[in-house]
Amino acid sequence: MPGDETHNSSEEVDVESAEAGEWDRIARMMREMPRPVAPDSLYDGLMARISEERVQQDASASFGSTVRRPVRGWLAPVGAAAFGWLVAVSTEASLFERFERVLASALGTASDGVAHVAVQGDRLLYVLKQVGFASSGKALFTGPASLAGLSPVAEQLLLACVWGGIGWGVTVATLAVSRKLFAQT
Amino acid sequence: MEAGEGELLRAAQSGDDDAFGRLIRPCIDPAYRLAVRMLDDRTEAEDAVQDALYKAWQALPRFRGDAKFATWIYRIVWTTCVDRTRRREASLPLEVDPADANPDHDPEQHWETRETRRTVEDALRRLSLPYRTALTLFYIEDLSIRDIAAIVGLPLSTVKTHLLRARNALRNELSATDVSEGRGSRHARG
Repeated sequence: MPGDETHNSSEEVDVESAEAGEWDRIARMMREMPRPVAPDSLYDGLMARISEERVQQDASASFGSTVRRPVRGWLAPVGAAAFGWLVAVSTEASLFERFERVLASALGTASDGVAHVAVQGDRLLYVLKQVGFASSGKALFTGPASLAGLSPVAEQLLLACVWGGIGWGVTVATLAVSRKLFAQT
Repeated sequence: MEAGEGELLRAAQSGDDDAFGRLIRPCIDPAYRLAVRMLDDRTEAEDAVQDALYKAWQALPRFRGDAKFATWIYRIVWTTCVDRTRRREASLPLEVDPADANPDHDPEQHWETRETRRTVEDALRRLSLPYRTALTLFYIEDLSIRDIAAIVGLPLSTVKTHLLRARNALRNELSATDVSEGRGSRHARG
């Protein structure tokens, strides 16, 4: 590694003049020692390693740009909302009934409120059951959950978590695909 | 830092791996020599230098140019070798010098030179790591004390002290084999 500042001189180390001659001889012998040369494989291996790492980094960056930012941003609230919705679906009418009561007492218009919310809830459940979400979900997990001896509450939580996970995965995948499509255009 | 090196460095820092390759190429042999002297094993030295240069590539965006690039590389190689020497206790001998297999036209003179050189090399190898490193960087790699201090992370005065003590230690080692008196190691003790 040549360079002006790298050049040293023996004067940098103070020595007795009587020893200088002897030391010069030793120093010369040291400089005459074999100077190993790095094999080509060292450089080639290094560059191959860097190239491999670069490919991994690029792949990771691509994935991160399509997934991480949405997850940090608005995907979390959306996911939480989806989770709540799925809990409602998995527990079918029970949450709607509770919501009806809360809303009714809050508004002070029990009969109208109950009727309105009940109608909306029934409509939603009806649609969901028609497309098979709620029923298939319960059918899928009720059996194993019952076999495992889970309580009804745990069963519902399990169902909600599974559906929440599926919803999250679908959302992330959709975002990734859409970002790719937008990037290409 | 030379202009060309500066441009290469900026390109490498912005992700140009070819630029990094060209930047690192002149550093490889000196780095390898340091690693061989420190580790006393060419295969391990090769691994260590590759590891060190890979670390340098990873850390390149954080290199601010406070030190010379070559010094920075030396520093990483030195640190890597120190870590490796701490992990192992026993050292392995160097491979056979290629000159041994290809003696020159004067076998007697070659034998003398080779033996003397070998004796110095053996004496150097027996020194402690800090002394061996100081002598290698100063006398073999021709670096300044300031650069050595930057590489090993010690004050200038400590490096000077190491050098003086290393020289005395090496001289003592050699005096036992009479090399420093100019008689060659043919008369050395077994």
